[in-house]
Amino acid sequence: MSAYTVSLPGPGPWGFRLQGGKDFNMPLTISRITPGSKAAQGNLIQGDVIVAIDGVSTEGMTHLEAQNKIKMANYNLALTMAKFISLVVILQEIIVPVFTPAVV
Amino acid sequence: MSWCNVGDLNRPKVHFFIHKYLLNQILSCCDVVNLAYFNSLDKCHCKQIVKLNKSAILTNIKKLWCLHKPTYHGSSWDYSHGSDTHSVCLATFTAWCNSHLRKAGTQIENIEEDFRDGLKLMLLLEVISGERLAKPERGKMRVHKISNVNKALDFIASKGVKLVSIGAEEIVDGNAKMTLGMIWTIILRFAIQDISVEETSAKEGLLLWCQRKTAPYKNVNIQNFHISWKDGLGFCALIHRHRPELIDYGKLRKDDPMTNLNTAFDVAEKYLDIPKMLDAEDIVGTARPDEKAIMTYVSSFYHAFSGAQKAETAANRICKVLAVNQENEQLMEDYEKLASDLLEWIRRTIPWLENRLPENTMQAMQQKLEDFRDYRRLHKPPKVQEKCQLEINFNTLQTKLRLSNRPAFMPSEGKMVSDINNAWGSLEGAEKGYEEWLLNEIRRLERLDHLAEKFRQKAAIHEAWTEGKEEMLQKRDYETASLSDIKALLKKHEAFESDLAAHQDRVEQIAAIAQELNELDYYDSPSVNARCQRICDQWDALGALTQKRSEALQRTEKLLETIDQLYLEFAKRAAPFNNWMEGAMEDLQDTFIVHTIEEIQGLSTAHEQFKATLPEADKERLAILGIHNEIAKIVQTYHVNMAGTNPYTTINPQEINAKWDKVRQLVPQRDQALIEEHARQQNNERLRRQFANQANVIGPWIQNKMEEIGRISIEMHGTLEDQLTHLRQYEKSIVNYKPKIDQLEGDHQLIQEALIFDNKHTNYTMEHIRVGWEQLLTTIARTINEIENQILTRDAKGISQEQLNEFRASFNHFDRDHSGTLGAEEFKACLISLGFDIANDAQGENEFSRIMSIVDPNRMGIVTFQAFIDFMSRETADTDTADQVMASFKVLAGDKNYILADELRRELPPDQADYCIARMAPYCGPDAVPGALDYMSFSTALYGESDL
Repeated sequence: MSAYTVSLPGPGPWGFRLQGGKDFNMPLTISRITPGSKAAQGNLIQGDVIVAIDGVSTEGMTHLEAQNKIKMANYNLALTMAKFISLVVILQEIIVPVFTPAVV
Repeated sequence: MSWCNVGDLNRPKVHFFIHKYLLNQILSCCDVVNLAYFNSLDKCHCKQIVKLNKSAILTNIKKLWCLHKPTYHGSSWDYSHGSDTHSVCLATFTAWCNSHLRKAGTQIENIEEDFRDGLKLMLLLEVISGERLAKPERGKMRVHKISNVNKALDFIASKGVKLVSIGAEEIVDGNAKMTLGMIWTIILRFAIQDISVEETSAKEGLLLWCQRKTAPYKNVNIQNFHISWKDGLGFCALIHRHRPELIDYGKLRKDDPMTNLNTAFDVAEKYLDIPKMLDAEDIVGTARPDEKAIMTYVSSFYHAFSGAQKAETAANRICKVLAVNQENEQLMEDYEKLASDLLEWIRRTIPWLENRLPENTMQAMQQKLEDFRDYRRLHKPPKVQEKCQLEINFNTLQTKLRLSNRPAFMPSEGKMVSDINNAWGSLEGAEKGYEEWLLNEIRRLERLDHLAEKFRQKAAIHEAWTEGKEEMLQKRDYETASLSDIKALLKKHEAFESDLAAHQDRVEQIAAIAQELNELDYYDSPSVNARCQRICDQWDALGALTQKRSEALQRTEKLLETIDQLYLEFAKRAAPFNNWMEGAMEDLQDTFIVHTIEEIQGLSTAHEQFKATLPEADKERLAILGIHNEIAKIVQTYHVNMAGTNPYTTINPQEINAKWDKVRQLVPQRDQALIEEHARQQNNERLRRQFANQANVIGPWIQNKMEEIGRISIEMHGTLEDQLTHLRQYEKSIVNYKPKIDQLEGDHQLIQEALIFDNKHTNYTMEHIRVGWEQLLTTIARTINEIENQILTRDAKGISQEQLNEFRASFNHFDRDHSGTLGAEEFKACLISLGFDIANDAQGENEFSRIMSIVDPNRMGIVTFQAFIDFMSRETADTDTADQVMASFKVLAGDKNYILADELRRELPPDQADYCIARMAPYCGPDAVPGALDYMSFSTALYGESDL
């Protein structure tokens, strides 16, 4: 999973919709980007996963915790992002050969 | 000393007498330088001096004799002197008499009175002359006195003094003139007459002596015996000349006669033992001092100084003569000594040379030869020289004696030159042949030593060789040896026998040498013979022992071979038998794991067959034990100490018997085990069948139910609600089936407890049944749930039954394995079939990833029908539900960005309104009013989203 960092100049609103969290059994994901917003200008990509907020890992973070964390950032917001490379691709590589004989 | 007794000077005896009597005195006074000079002269010079001095001494003694002959020139007393002179004379004479009488311990007071009885007169004469007079008369009578005086006068007369007109009566009567005259006569005769210098008269002699002695003193001029002495310097000079330490002559003055005279008289009295005969005043106070008194005084000085000197002179001369005698005597003594030494040496040496007793050892003999060589080289040559010197000395001595008119030297008895020559001859005789004898003896000893050494060497070698051989031969090592050891011992013994044979020669040589030593009379023959005997005896013993050992070894070999044969047979038979027993034990104890009756029956059959072989095996065992017993019997019979065990096998009878017993013990055990196992297998078979019968019913039933449920969910007959009802009935029937499963579990537990792992009567295992049962339960529950969810989804999303059926058909179509889930690729294919444009490129891949993250948030790699429907309903209906909700709230809020509680209560059911009011955050926008609520964030939050 290739990681990249996006630094958005504060203050908010940043112009993206956050989705997921530990309580939703879903990774913290950028679900929408408001066109023309700071997020759009900052090369944030819809669907990518937030790995860390201001250097703090998002692992085990609930949606609300992540939300508060982002709201607390008054100046710059530094997001460490992971390109959402589908696990499917990885699974295909790993699982498909196992399934193949069954298919044949 | 009395010169009177000096008789014939030509007689050597007298000469000798003088020497003996005076030598010490003379030598003590003798001029030391003169003596030293005399002693330092070599013999050659000495002879001349002796010659000269001998004649000189003789001359001088003659002169002395003549001088001292009693010659009397003026004996009459000169009466011409005045009374002064008379009194001076009286004092001087008295002092003179006392100076002599005190040696006899007496004194006189009055010279005229004290000599009257003649006794002191005789005493005086005795002291002066040193001779004894006739015994005096002891009586006090006149006649006695006259007799004694006459004896004195006779003695004076016997010294050649003519006593004219002096009679005994006058002396006894106390006639002063007569008495003094007699004393003066005595003084002249004994004090002055002795003074003679170069044959002058006594008076002149004394004067000449005084002149010569005072010659070095310029202020002294002695011409007479009166005025020349008035200044006293004469007396002082005489003293100073002889004893310079007594008077400091330089301080004396000619014009002080009193001091000079007193000094001289005091010193003389004090140091020279000369009594004061005159007073200084008597001399100084008179114009012409009394001549007799002065003479008497001076004569005392003369005697004090010159007496010894004269004797010295004489003695020196005598001494030289004596030296010749001494030298001769020394030569005689030397000869005697040398002769004695030489004779003694010869006497000692001859027996040593005559000793021809042979020594035992070479070393001793060689020492003897060495001694002889020393004798010839070191000891004899000086003796030869001594003998030669002795003869020379003898001849020299005789010549000297002849030349000095002495009698020839006669050596003491047996020390004549001829005696010495005879002794020397004997020595040479004894010496003759000694060396030859020594050499012969050495040669003999050398031969003996050589032989003895050879003997010792050979004996030593032989003894070293035999050392331990007897012990070795007597060793009973074969009793404990193995057969191979015995064979080795036999070989070794054979080698030893040949070694022994080889040593025969040496023993013979030793005996031969011992014989030769005996013949040559070797001193140590007894020990040689003893050693030889010992060797021979030991040799015989060795032979006997060798033979004995050889026999013993061969016998043992034969026995051991027999035993070995038996051992081999034992081993050959015991090994397979042992192996068979071990195999049997192993088989008998073999824990069998059988699962079928057939198997246990096969085992029983095999065991019966095995049991049938036992009698045969027992026979074999007894045969093997028989072999062992045979060995034991041989060992016991022949006393073979079989230390070693059977070399061919480690198996012993005990082991065989133990194992045999074990086998026999194991057989019934095995019987029992087989019977038990047989029973167990029968029981197991019953359990199997019981389980199988049930499982064969339950298994297909579960399968059947599963298939039916699958059909229901997939075939989609009727509505979802119909399906749900149908499934609920199914679920009920399944739950009712549970007791049958429990019963099967009970049977299964029994099977497991009986450790049955296989069951040929059924293909179903308990695990299959369990899994199947659980699957059936979960499948029915899941299917019911799915239907319920589908109902919920359909109702929530407003999906029609037709749409749902379509989704289902698509899903089922791609769910080729009927697992109820789709794989990623299946899902992709499914999506494509439903019209999703997922290009086979990066963008398409991206899109598919996004979809997968939604349908498979946990990244399981599978997509359930529920997730599929959720996705499809989302994709097909409004795509953004949060936005939809937001839009709905906006409608309720009258297009405001916020909503009020009243508005919510008015528009929504009360509990839902309260729910919203409780959860909505206050709106913070610029257009906010009090009580304004943020429905936007609430909406997104409902879907797990938030706008930031």
